[in-house]
Amino acid sequence: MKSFDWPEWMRVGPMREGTFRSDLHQERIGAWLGIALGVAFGTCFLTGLLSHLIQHPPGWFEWPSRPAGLYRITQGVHVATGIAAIPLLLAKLWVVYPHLWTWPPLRTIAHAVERISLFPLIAGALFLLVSGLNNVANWYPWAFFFPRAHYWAAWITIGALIVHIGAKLPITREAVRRSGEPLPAAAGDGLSRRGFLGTVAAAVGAVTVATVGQTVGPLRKISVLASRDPAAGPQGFPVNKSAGSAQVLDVARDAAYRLRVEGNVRRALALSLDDLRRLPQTSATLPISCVEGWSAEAVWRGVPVRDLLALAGAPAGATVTVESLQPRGLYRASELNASHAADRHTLLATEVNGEQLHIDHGYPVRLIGPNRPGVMQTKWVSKLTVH
Amino acid sequence: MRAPARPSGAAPPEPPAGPVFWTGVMVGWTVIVAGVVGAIVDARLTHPRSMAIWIVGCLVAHDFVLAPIVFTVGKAVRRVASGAGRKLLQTCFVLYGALMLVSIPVLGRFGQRPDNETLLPRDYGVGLIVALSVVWLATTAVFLALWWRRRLR
Repeated sequence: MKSFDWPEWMRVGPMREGTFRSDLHQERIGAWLGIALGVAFGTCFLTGLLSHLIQHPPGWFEWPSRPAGLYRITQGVHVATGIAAIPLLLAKLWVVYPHLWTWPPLRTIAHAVERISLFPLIAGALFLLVSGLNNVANWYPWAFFFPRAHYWAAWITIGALIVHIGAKLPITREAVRRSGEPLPAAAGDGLSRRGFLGTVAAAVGAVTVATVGQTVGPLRKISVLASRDPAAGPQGFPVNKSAGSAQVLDVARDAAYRLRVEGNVRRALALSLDDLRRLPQTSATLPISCVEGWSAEAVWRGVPVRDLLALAGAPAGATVTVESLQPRGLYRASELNASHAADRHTLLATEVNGEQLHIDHGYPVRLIGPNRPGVMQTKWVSKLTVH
Repeated sequence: MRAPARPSGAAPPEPPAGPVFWTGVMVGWTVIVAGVVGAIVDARLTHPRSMAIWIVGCLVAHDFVLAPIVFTVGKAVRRVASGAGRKLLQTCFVLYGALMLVSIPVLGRFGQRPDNETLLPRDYGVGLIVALSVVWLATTAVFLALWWRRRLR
């Protein structure tokens, strides 16, 4: 293919030769970091897509209620991998930064297409990590709704990653093949290639240890930068949305509270808290697994949803919409698919860790079930609608 | 200043070509366009203008603010230190940079809410100082161990 000609006088600023002097701006280092990033972003994409499917299930997708702790793992991995990818991405961008100022800037049509495709790749990847990190700390300095923007940006980034892999496959293959060979002797006395990659790996380890205690209990004391402590909060674990911010402080404490079971049932129910307590109770040890990556286990006690459905005469295989007293908000209701509705540990809990539920944990009644995202464990439950 | 052993920017990699590259371009750009269309169709929640500002903003902040700062620091390190000291500083600064960037949202406590004490429950200033001190001590220990081993050989 014909190469484009560029006049030499346009070669200014960092495009001049010798601007970047480190011996570490090398293809082989970039290739290894690229492989690690491909694994990290691939993992984040799949676990993120899974979380999206669980929360917005299309007809063909039914998320099972077992194993109970699976979502805790996939979402914990999603957030931990995203944080680990921060030093990886920055190291990779540092290694290849001179290419931003490469001369000549565009050599062939293919080169132009490749470089244009780097824009959605790098901008998208940075956006995903920045927005995700902010979300973990509940910091929203923007107008968009985080989950949706993060979701669509993930598609843009993965698309650009496909282009990038197609462009870099030969170089990466070559780098891996030659991994045993020594590099051209370094003229400087800074970090060697091995020292640099070791340092990046140490940085990945450092940010992971500093944050992963929000979901890995034994590390909670040394995760000094974690935005949650899984053992800190009323009744021994954190709260995502407080009763105050959900505007349910009065209505949740109202003595006239009734849990209603309606819809496709033979006998609609309206149960007071005492009625619920008189029904046979079940205990289950289940994690709250927040989409923001923290998780904490607790012992819950209450009435299984399936017992209430049986009492109301709901059909077998029913699905259920669980609604909150919360007057508004995107998460004021959640769906129980047939598998979750029928699970013996999907509870309408009134107690946790041996005490009556704290109002911030959903008093008088909250939904808690195995293998569900925290936002689908509806608090301050007022109504079950059977379908 | 010494001449670079291998001036970067020189001998850039060959431009991509071939059926694998063009297949990737077709498939990848289909997915990219799907993502952009999805974000626009979902405008009520994605606020495409805000989203675009942040996507472009992240890139500009990296390429024209963060990267120049890092290269300036790198240059300063090369000027003030050599040998093992230079390596020690480079290692520490990479680790410091990663920890400091990750700590920004919690250190600033921007997401703090008066009704929820379980969010941001720690003193992150102390946490960051502890983390940076541990990094400094651990890195120095590793360098001393490497130096000692080399001396014994």
